[in-house]
This record gives sequence, structure tokens and C-alpha cells, in this order.
Amino acid sequence: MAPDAGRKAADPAVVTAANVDLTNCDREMIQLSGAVQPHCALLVIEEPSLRILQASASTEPLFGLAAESLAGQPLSVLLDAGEEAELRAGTADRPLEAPVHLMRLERNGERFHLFAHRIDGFLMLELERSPGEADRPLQDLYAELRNHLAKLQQTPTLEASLQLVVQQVRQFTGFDRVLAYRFLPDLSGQVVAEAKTEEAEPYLGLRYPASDIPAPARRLFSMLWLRHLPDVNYTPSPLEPQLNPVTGQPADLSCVAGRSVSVMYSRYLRNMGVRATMVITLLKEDKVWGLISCMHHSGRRHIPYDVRVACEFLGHMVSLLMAAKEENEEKARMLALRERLGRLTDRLGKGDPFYQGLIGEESELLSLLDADGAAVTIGPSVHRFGNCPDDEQVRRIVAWLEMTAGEEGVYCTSGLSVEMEGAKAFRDTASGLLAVCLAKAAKIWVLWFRPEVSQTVVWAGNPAKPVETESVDGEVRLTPRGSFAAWKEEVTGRAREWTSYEIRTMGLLRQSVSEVIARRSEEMLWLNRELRISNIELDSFAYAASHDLKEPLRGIHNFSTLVLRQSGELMDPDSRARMKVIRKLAQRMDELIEALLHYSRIGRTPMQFRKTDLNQLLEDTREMLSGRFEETKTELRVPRPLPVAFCDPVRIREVFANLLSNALKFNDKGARWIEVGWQDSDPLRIWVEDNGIGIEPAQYENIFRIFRRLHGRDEWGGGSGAGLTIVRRIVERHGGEIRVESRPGEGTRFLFTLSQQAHETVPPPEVPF
Amino acid sequence: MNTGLPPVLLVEDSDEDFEITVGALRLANMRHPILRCANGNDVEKLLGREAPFEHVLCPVLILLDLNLGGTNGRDLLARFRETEWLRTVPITILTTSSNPADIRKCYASHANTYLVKPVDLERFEIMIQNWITFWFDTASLPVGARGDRSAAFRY
Repeated sequence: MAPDAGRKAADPAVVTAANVDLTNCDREMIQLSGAVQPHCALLVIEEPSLRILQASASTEPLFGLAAESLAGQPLSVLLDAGEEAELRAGTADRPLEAPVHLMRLERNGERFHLFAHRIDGFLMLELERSPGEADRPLQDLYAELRNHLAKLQQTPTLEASLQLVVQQVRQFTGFDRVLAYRFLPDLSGQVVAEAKTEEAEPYLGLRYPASDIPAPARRLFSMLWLRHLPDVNYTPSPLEPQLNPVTGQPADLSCVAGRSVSVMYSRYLRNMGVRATMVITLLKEDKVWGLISCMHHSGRRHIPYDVRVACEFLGHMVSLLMAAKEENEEKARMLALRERLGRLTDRLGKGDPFYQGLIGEESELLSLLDADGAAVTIGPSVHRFGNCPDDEQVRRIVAWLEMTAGEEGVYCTSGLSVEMEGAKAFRDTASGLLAVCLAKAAKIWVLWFRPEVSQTVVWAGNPAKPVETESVDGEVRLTPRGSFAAWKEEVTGRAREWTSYEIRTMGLLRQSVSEVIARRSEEMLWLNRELRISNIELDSFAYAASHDLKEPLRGIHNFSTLVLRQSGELMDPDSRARMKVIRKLAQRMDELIEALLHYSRIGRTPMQFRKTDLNQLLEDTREMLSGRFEETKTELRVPRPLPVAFCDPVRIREVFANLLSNALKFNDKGARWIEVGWQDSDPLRIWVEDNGIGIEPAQYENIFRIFRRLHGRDEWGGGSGAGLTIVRRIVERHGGEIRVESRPGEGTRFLFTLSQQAHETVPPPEVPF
Repeated sequence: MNTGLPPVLLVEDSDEDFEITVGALRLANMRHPILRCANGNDVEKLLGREAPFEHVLCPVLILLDLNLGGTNGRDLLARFRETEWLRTVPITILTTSSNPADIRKCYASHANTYLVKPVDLERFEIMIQNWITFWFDTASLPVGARGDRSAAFRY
């Protein structure tokens, strides 16, 4: 409802003291209460005539002037000519949006303060009777304030400043209890500082539900720095007449210090055992941050105007310091944090792999955030710190996060057991979760945990039941609750909220990690370049070596051939045989050099990956080796057609050729067979099996070593001894692996893996020449 | 052996290989004289027709070893192709290298044939025989290749 629409008292939609109850108190127009407290007199004045339009009933006990008789009278019935002149001088050409102290008056031996402000075009004059005791001289207050101000500026933390302020306010005012009250994000409030009489029950740390201070009251807090209720049990003093005769509307008392308060408020205070109050608003950046709330339990207490000004001034001061102090505290926290992050980043930079710095003994993960437990997961492995769910539970959380956390890979909750199914089981350690994904592909997550806080909220009374009913003349009415004994709320499955600063920290960590990863990949690029250069050098070396080795070799072969051709007839048989051995050895050495060259080339030349029908490759190979198949009467078995693979067909044909020729070679059985089979998996598993002589397990690794032959050079048909080495290199260049299984004397199975789909490959280096 | 025929140029640093290659050419009854450059310096002199190459006839074919001590054979290949009076002479690379990259790059530098020397002498002799049959009996060579008068032969 718009406030303007609520100016008619007769409108049943307008909630004022006349019709307020607990169901509508959030809407009560407490500024339209139409009454003041009896220690004040309020006059609504028309300008410039200074004619009285409305007067509060309190004019009669205070000044002996009946309110009904004042309406329509000139102000001179109350003020003498000198005072009226002072009033005119003090109000002329001033907007007076907020009350201004204009003068002191004396009537019937009592002293009054006169305040003035304007609202809706009317001059509001408020005459407040001074309490019986003498007003404190302003000079003393000023000296004390100056002293306090210096102390306030020196206190390091906001909490300490507030503690200082409540003590000072109590010292100035003599209230039984002065407390600082802070509004939390959910609009509930918490007592953060308190000064009180020794015997009073402490309220420090208590939480008050949002309903204890309804929205209209919070609005008024932001309009007036200080409100004072000297006697909770006062009798309201209504304006006469009730409506402004010029506008026909009730007067807006928003800025009237002695305005009659909401009946809900006074009843609330009475329920708390409070007889008198004063409330100072604490503002931070124009928003109500909290209150300094003064309470008197032992009786009524009226605070003189000058003291109120001093308290208000303290409120202003702490409000101004608040932003700076909070900023300082935040800065100090961020600084400490940045230092810890810096150390962590250093360790990440040095760690190999980088996440070693996260999981090492010296990890400061737990101190990075205010958490009870932390965990780092790298793929399936879990590293835990402090109080955490167990490994399996952490893995389940990460699996769930991967589905839930979205693109940013960041997740934050203070009620995991509500959000994740099955998380109730570990809510004692992990009700709060702050998680960040550091590397998606490697599945690196960092998680911080907070335990359930079942007993940390101490409410001032049960917040779920802030009101009680009372029966008045048979009619049931709601009242603020009577009991204010501390009430511990059983909060289940909730952890302390993560602050924006903690979430920011996580962002910083993420950023540091991506910087580390970026630096690492730069290093990788550099290493790759180095590797490429060294590969090129190796290639040049192999090339030059082969040329240099081959040339004399060819010479040996050529000239031994020429000698045999020209003088063979003249030689004795032994010499002739030896010349032939020289020729044969030269040829053998040539084969070895060729194999070595071929092997080194496979490591360097680009693979031409494409979708390839393996049946075609096998058929090519069988055709190439058909003579050997016939010769050895070996049966080639292909139980089911081979699949399509993503590979370099030339190279994989070479793999088949090597494996099949080995299988053909190393067999002594009567009925020989070779089976080529496969298993549908990703990657594909392909095998070449024979019923040949087999391999001793001790030799499994040796067979893949270059030139390592298990048999005599001329046994089993000879060969360079590089075939399986080349096969393994080809398979590895396809991103696969190869292994051997065998039963000596029964047969051998070579098993290798090949990808079905296209995958990324590292481009091989440019080859020289 | 002055036949009046234009020579076959053999760029080869190894005396043993030179001897074997010449033996194989003669075994195949190649009657053209053989002109040898034993290193890069010789080649440069030939290109510039400096002594002792100032009077040579334009070769009918060039056999070029890729690996000359101190000189990159592919650079020589390029030098031949840059030189006006030798530009049309078919060049055959004769080398021990079977490196596919070498093969590709030589053809890219306008070699006409690439032969890998086998270790086995008999296979080498067959290779040379085939080469001669192809270039002299099968292929047509540029007109004028035989037109120059010979003055000096080194072999």
C-alpha cells in the first residue's frame, strides 16, 4: 500500500493504533498515531499567521491550556512577544525538514525545550518538558565527547568500537542496559555489544527474529537518529481536533520526537520488562546497519535533551567510523588471505604435477577458508584434511557436483543435505560445502566443508512463535510473546553461511590455478620445442650415421664381391668361404641399419589417421605373406569380421605384417593356425594369436627391445630383431598399448588397443631434408 | 676413349663408389665418356666453366651423390637447376639414403630420378643397367645434348 493512500483514518485499509493487531502490524501507520507522549506538547501551526490548528491534550497538564480551546487561537496565547519573534527568526527562510532546537522556555517553574520542523507545509512545534534534574552543562559533555572520540578512532575493530559506545552511552544516560544490535541479512538481529547493570540478565549474542522489529519501525529508524520513550506506561496525549481542519487529514508525526509509539511496540517492551527506552540508529552507507538500544528496567527514565544530543553524536560517529573499520577488517582479512594464497600459488608453481602443492603435508587449504574440513580430488583419488566425509562420500559429492555445478565449476551451499540426495548421512561434517573445479578434464576439485550448526543460534524467545494470544473481553487478540528466555533453535542440516569474501577467495584460488596451468602449458610448449629440436638432431644423427656407416659397408660388400668375381677361382675353398661370410655380414649390418632408421622414422613422421577397415589391412597382409602361409600350411582364422578403427592404415598394416610373420615364423606344430580376433570396447582390443612355440614370461619385455633376439640369428628364419619394437612404437603412436600373453610350447597372443574414434594427436616434428 | 660423345657427369666424392659406379656403367656398355666432380668446388668450377672444365661438352646425364663431404647435395641440385647451360640435363640422384623426406625433397627440387644404392653389388649393377636402358634406349633426351664438340675429358 502506498503511504499516500493511507491518510484517511476512516479507511479500514489504513492500519493505525486504532485497529492494529499482529496480523497487520507490518502495515501500521505508526507515524499517523495522532498522539504524543505526555511529557511533550505538540502544536500544528499554520504559516505565516502562526495560528494553532491542532494541539495535543498535554497542553492542559503542562501549560494549563485546554487543547480544545487552543485550536484556531494565535500562538501568542502560549508564547510572549519576544519568544514569538525568536521563533519567527528561527523558522523564516529555513526548510526545517528535520526538527531543530529553537529555544528554552520556562513556564510555572518548569523548563521546556522548543523544537520545530515542517511537514506537509505545516509548522510542527514540539515542547518537551525537561526532566526534574538539572541539564548537564554542554561544555562538560563536549569535553567528554572529544575524549571518547579519540578513543573510538583508536579502537582497531568494529566490535570494540561498539563496545566502547555502549559503555559511553550508558555512562551518559544511566540506563540499566545499553546494547548494540546488528541486523543480519535475513533481517533478524543479533546483540553484538552490551553494557548493563551487574544483576541484569546478559543479552549479548542473542538473536531476535525479524518480526520483533516490523518494517514500519525500520523505516522510521532511517528517518530519525534517536527516539526516546521515557515511560513505557504513558498515557497517549491525542491531538485536538483529531484531523487537521485545513486538510481534513491526520497529522504526519514521522519527525516528532515525542510521538506516541505503536501499541505493539510498547506492549513488546512491557513484555520484556522494559520501563523506558532510547534507540539510536546506526547507519552504514545510508542503510540501517543496526541500533544502539537503551533499556531501563527499574523505572521510568527521561534523558535530557543535551545528553540525547551527545548520544546521537556518538551514534553518528560510530556510523561514520563503521564503514572505515569494516573496510579495514576486510582489508586485513584479504591481506592475510592473499598472503596464504600467494604461498599456495608458489607451491602450486613448484609442484610436479601442480596439484602436489594442494595435497602436500604443508597444504594450507584449511586455513585458507574458515572451514572444518577440506578435500582435494584428482580423478578417483581423494585427499582429506580435517573433518570430512569419507573417501567414498567425497567421491559421491564430486560426482553430484559434476552434474550440478554448471559451467563455472563453482558450488556453494550451507544446506547440502537438503540439496543433495543421500547427503544427510554426512551432514554432521558436511552441511556446508564450498567447491571449486580446478581442472575439468583431470577432474580436480577442491572442497571445503562446514559442519551442521544445530546449537549455535540462540534466539531471544522462539522465533517461530513470536506472538501469543490474549483474550480481552472475550475477544482473542495477538500480542508479542511474553517469554524472552533464550531459546536454542534446532537447526538441522544447516551450516554457517559462506561469506561473499570466502566465495571471492575461491575465485582467487581458481584464478591462481589457471595462472599456474597457463604457465605450465607455456613450459610444456617450450619443452615440446626443445624435444622437437632434439628429435630433429637425433634424426640428423641417425641419417648421417646411417650414411656414414653404410658407405664403408657397401665398399666392403662391393669389393669382396669383386674379389670373389675376379679371383675366386684362384682362392682356396676356406678363403673363398670367408670372403662370402664378409659379404653376408655386410649385408646383415645393412639390414640392421635400415631397421634402426625405419624405427626412428616411425617416431617422427606424421601418422595419417583415418577411418580404416581393418579387414582390408588384414587381407593385404595375408596376400603379401601368402607364400609363407602356403609354405608353412598355416590356417588364418578370423572368427568374425574386424571392425573399423581410426588409425594410419600403412602403419597398422605394418603391425599386422610383423605380428603375422612372427606367428608364421615361430611355430613348430603340425597343424598351425593364427587367429585374429577383437573385442568391442573403447579403445578396441585386437589380438593376433598362434599355436606356436610361445614365449617365457621372463622374456615378455625383452621381445620388444630393439635387436634383442631370443633365438640364434639364423634360427626361425632370421630377421633384424626390430619388428616388435617397431610394432610397439606404431601402437604407441596411435595412443594404444600392446602386450603379450603366452604359454611356452602352446602359443602366443599379442594384444593391442586401437581407438575407434578420432582423437587429438601431437603433430610430429618437421623432419630435416 | 675419345668417342666424340657428350659425357655423363658423375658427382661423387668417394673414390671407391666412383670406381664401383664406373664399373657398373661400363659393364652395361655405356660408351659415353665419364666426367667426374669430386666435390662442391669442382661443381662450382664446372658451372662457371672454369679450369679444368672450360672446354667440356654439356653432359648428357648427371648422376649426383646426395652426400658429398662438406656439401649438401640438394644445394648442388639447386645450383645445377639455376645454371642456364645445364638446366635441361636430367639429373639422377644416386644415394644411400632411403629417407622418404629426402626423396620427396629431391623431386621437389627438380631431380628427375632418385636411386637408392643397394649394398649388394649385383643388385647395384642391375640398377645401373636398368637406368641406362631407360635413359638411353627408352627416354628422349633434350635436342642439342649431343651437339657440343668435346674438348677435354677427365676419364
